[in-house]
Amino acid sequence: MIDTAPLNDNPLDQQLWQLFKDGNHEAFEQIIERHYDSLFRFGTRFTKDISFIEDCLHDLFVYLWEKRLSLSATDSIRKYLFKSFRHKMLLELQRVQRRGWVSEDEASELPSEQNFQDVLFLLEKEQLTVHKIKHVVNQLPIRQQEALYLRYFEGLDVDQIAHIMNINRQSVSNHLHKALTFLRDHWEDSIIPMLLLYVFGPFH
Amino acid sequence: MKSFNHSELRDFLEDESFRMWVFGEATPELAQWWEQVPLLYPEKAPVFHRAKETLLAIQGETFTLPPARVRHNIRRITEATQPAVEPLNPERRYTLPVWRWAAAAVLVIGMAWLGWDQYQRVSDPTTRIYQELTTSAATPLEEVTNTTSDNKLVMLTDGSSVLLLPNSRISFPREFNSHAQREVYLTGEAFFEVAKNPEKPFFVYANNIITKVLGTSFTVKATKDDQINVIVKTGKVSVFTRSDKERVEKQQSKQLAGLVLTPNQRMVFDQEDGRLLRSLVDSPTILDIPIQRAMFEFSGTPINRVFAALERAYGVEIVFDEEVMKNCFLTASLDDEPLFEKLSMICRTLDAHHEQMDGKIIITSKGCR
Repeated sequence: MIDTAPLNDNPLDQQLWQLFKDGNHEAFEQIIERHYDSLFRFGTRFTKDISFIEDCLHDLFVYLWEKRLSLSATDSIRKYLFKSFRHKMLLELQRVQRRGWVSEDEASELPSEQNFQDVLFLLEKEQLTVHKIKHVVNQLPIRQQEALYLRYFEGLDVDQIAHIMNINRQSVSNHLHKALTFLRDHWEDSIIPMLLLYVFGPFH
Repeated sequence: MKSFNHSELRDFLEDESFRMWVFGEATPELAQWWEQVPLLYPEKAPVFHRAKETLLAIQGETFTLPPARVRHNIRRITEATQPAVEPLNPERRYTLPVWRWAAAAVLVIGMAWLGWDQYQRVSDPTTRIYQELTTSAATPLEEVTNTTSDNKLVMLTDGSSVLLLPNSRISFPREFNSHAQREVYLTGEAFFEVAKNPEKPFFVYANNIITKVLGTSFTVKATKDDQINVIVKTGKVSVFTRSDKERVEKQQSKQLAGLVLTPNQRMVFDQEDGRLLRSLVDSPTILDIPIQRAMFEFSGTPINRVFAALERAYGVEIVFDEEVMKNCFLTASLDDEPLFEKLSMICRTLDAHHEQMDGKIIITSKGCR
């Protein structure tokens, strides 16, 4: 069973959230400042369209401020925000796809002109390491990947992940367990294809 | 130092300190420890490396935005949700929203297309005043423009340093020393660390206000809208308007006059009624240039970390021989000195030398024992 205490959650979350609900704008700002980066990063798992993610975050926070009186209490602001943001992202992505504007894949390949410099800047930073095991992780079902990310990158616990992904606790544990088993069993795969790539690479 | 009985992939993944190390958030001590694990436990090296790569793969191609962009986005949100202004206690209530709006505007310009940007430069009053002032200056000026998305370090010949924010311009005489006063002209936003020299006060001209300094660190923000902000981190400055009738006397006196600001105070100039309003910096979150909040407290810190902290704060590259200086440790408390003074103090302690070359800082040292 994979289970640890939630990491880097602020013990004062409940109070901060209550202040925000009471209309304290400073508290609201603190909440945004504390979580903007990690929410944005989480968003990049769903699409590489920077302005799309930015717009979702903007709308989400404005919505939360306007509806603050009717929001429920929470023991973890991060959990609350991740859940609402994830919900919002998926909803908006579906909406965009229905309208047929741009598919998620296209969005990731064609950053808009305005964002291009940012993307370059970011890619330079990100591509410093070639991850041998990356393609093994990419073979995992998308939900397993998401659970791994929330558990091991964000350091959230199983309960929080269940809440965010809107599935039960047992499913989260299963996702994590299956993912780790797969990674363990396919470790060798991650070496061989690298060699193949090396040998056949120039002919492509 | 740390219990270690990890044997499986999962044992590593579940270890928070291991994850912090992989994602670059570990303390130096912890990082050092993890770095030697594969040497201390060679039998665990394969799974150790595998766990590290797995974590990096889980992080995947996710990324965050450049800080300036995040600030801009957060401003847009706070702007969109700012509660209505109430007339009670007008000074304080009034300045807060204005500040936010002004701040948002700076960054909005930064995001704009070049064409729009050019148009703005001619039409907005701050830039117009800036151009008037710089063209009518008595001595030839040097101009630095920051068109990048990062803060840019500008070092003045008197030893003061200026961190110029994106989409800002600053002009200054090539040789301060030959002038009775040190005068610089700003449009946009900048953080100043002024070298102390009571004989030659330091003036920042931004829009219609003049900030006079005797040696301190502070921020001036003058953007295309009508509000200009001055925030003091340390020391004292005085602020007055260009149209101020007593301006001449105030400028010439060695004492500070006008509206005097002390640390954590903020001045907002409202162009419309030409008033200077003073208020407290009500929350540290408002100070959004990292260096404004930075404290350089070092206690037995390896020199490479000291330089890394300075590189981050000033956005400047510091070149030194890591091997030669590996035994150099610094204990010091640095604050609002300009970068060059900080470097001089460090070098004096370590018996090293520093010089500036091609926009980089070069440190030469024979090492420490």
